[in-house]
Amino acid sequence: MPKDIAAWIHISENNAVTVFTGKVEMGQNIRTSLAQQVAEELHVPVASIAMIMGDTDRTPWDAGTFGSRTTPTMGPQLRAAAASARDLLVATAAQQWKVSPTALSAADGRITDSKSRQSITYGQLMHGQQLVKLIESAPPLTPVVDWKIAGTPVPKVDGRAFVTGRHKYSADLSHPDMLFGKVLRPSGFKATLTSLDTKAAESIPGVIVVHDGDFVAVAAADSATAERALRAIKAKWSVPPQPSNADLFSYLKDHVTASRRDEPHIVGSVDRALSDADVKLSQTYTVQYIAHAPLEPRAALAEWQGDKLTVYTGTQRPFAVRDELADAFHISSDKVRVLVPDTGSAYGGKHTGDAAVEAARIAKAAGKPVKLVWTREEEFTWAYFRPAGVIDIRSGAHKDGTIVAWEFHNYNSGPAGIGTPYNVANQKIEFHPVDSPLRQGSYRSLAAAANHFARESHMDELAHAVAMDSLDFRLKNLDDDRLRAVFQAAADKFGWRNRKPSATRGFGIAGGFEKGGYVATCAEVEIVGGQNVHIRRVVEAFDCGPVINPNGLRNQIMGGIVQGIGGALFEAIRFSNGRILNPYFSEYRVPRFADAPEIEIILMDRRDKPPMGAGETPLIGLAPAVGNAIFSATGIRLRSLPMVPNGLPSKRA
Amino acid sequence: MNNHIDHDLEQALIQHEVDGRLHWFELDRRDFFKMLGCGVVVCLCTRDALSQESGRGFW
Repeated sequence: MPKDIAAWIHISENNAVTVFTGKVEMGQNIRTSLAQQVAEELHVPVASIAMIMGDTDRTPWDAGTFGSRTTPTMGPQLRAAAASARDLLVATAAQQWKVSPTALSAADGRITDSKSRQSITYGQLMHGQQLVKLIESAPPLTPVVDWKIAGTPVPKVDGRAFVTGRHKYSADLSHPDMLFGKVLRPSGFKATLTSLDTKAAESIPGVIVVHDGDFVAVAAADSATAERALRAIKAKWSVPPQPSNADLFSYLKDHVTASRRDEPHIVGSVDRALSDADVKLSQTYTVQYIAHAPLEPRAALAEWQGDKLTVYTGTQRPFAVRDELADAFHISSDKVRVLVPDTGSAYGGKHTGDAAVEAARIAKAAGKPVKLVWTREEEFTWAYFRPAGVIDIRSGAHKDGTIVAWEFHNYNSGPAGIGTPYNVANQKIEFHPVDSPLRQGSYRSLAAAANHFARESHMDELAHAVAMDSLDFRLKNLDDDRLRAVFQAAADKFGWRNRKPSATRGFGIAGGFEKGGYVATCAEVEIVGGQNVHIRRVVEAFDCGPVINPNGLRNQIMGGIVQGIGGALFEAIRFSNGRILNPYFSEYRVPRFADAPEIEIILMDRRDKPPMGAGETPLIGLAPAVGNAIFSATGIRLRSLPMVPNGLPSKRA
Repeated sequence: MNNHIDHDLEQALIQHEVDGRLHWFELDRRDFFKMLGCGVVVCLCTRDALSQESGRGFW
């Protein structure tokens, strides 16, 4: 990251502060929380700050907005830049007034000498010049306990524009000469084009047909004409045989890629410990592919000016998309500019520049700017998915509830959150990468959702096997103070000790640690009509260090819980032989308002710890807590996500 | 841009990797020659070039 203050912060003559970051806003409220942190350290009002985000020509290089990394990495970076800038401003004023810097104070965007009562705004002091200084190695950061702007519920920057529809997403942008692009999609994955007839499409006035290898697309002055042209194209595709849901889990276990395999984590001897254990369990858990289903589909507006390409697109990784475009068109990266308007969510699904590459390819052929917006069907089919997975667990415990053996194998879904936070003397934990039958990639919390579902479901099974309360069993095997604290906090608020399960009412608890955040989730479910599962109440305690914006954090946690309901209960991509069978919201069930439970959130606000991200970890406790609650009501143990796509099964585990 | 990438970020990038790409475009003729032009190395040889003898130096 650049060390010059000027790369990150600029103050204009009228005292407006501009902050530059390669991070992007996609609903997680970092435009607000980062501005708060700069305001805190620079001693300016939040309203005076404009954030320039995700513009590859104007912002410092950034790997992308993912992995809950903005708060722990970009937050400190901007705080350091702002604190160093404040130091520079004070020193400049001191030099100008020939006084000691210690006699001056900085507040509300101005420097004041309390003795002489001289005062000057930052803008007047700098005359709009760059802040020429390196960021200090030990900048004078405001201690967290003294925060006055950070740590408060500052309203979401531009919030009104989003709720009134005034905000322009990538799909809303336009250009006077713009054409609308559409891509002819193959009839299945891994298809090759065997014949193509574009005569009818080309005969439609104003239509341009683009054909490059297996890529076929059209452009027209309006999207209806582009759609008509697309339908007029006759194409035949050859689609090779491919697996389907029916044989997915056996396929995953049979197609481990040995070359990418990591060394397993081994402590002690699981086999020896199991031979001495009073209770032994062996279970398999499975997870289906699911889609990100962002409300804003992938979209891009691309324009060529000579050999310079400019693309507006909603992506989590503008610099990676810039490089992807440069690579696709065999030009250098400095010929490509990517700009990211605040985006209508991504959930890990917008790492790539698929729509950007397509729009740019059509624009290159058409010689005009081209806008391309994916349909919902394209979004569900040609994006990538959260990996499916199989998780095998073998475990053993003593009668007193001490876990003595833990063996955990994850096939395909990923290594995130794979380690156990519980004290187990004998462990073997291993991730087995697989050649996935579907294109897969990151999804909010990565594999931590799958691994926590398996682990925390299995913890409940072990507690049941040794006849211990689920919470007591966890606490008995847990030393981590922060994880213990969220379990206790969630359980107390939920009334765990007073719960009264029945055949129609169940209660579950689960928790974990991931991306520097600690979470515990309690869920109450109701079984309606013997078959339908309704989540009635969720209490979640979350610790991500000091809270930077309590409103934003609550929104992140609530969003994670509601999104987690989908993957827990009913979301699953159905596919067969290279085709997605449910590529519409009418067939792919996402959480609805009626699915949302009463949600209570406890923010631990640990001001003695460094701040961490909150975009992912709040999601990981929901599925196992709900599964455990279903078991407490019905005695049915559900070990596959989604758990009840067709209602509660009648067969008992 | 590898100089920007610390170990944590490298691990995060590996975990967030997305399988494959949707499109690979072929170079058109003009692009092909433009790219080829970037890689052309011009070599000149002189008839009586002196070569340095091995084994005779200051060290």
